[in-house]
Amino acid sequence: MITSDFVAYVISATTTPSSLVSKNEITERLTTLMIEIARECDAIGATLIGHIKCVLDANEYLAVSVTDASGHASVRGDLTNDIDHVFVVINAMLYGLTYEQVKSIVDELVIKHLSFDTTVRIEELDKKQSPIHFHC
Amino acid sequence: MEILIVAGFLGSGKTTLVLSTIERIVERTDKKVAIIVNDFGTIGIDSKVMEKFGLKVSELDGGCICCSLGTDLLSTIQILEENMNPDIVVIEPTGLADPDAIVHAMKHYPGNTPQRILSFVIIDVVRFPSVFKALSRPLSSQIRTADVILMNKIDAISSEMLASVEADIRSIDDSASIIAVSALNDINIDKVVDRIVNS
Repeated sequence: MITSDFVAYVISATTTPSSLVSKNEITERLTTLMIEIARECDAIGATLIGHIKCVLDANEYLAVSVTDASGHASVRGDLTNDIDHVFVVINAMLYGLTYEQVKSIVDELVIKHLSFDTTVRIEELDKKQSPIHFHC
Repeated sequence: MEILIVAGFLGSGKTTLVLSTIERIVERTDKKVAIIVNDFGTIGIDSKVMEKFGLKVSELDGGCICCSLGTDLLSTIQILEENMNPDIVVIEPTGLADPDAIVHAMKHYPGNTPQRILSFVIIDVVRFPSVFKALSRPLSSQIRTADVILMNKIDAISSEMLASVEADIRSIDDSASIIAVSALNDINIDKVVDRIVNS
């Protein structure tokens, strides 16, 4: 189901805050991040939100996803402990925007929500991909 | 060895369905089940979620198995067959894949011919109108070629809307085998397991 305007932006975000992050705070930040990515992509002309999702990879796990810009997010997994290191994989898959537009929105929001009191490192996980590569 | 393809558009609930059915299939049949997940990127989110639930997953990343990764898929199945000899291989492609293309790719499988290939297509009934509007041709093709259509997230819409979605699906394929489910809230999942186990 690929059209020429399909974009898949896939990254990891890594940071080590100076103090422990509570399970509630990281859950709230990731939920807000997913919702805001969907909303901002929708606002600048995304024709269809496919799936915007992330997973926090720790000893335990937390996955958050949205499928539209309504502000509803699904949260799966339940952290029982606070965390001292953040490693999150994020997929933004949608239609109607350019890769650069999606990258700009996602990177900016990741920095906003996941920097804590330090910096966040963003790494693209699939630089080779392109709409042609995924064409079915 | 049997092949079960669990396809469906992005966010339709494929991973949730796999998580909600695999354990029951194993409980009922004592069959050995292997799972292949095709995610975007070099670190797959869906496979990570499944692994956290205790499932062993083979990953195919960086593309779509119904096209550019077809050969990788066949190699992965062959490795699984040789090393694990599973009774059922569950394939969860990306939300962009054409399940029929995977069925065709399996014709070139160099190992033992699968005893059966069963393809499920999951439809997110909440988003069906908007997804169908944007992608009517590939979605129609998925519906026509699937063995079973799962209308998922039925607890999130009214019965009138659900009837409307079903009518739309029937207008594409009036003989479609349809099961209405909520993978997240365990509605009719036993019917899905029945279909997998008994057909």
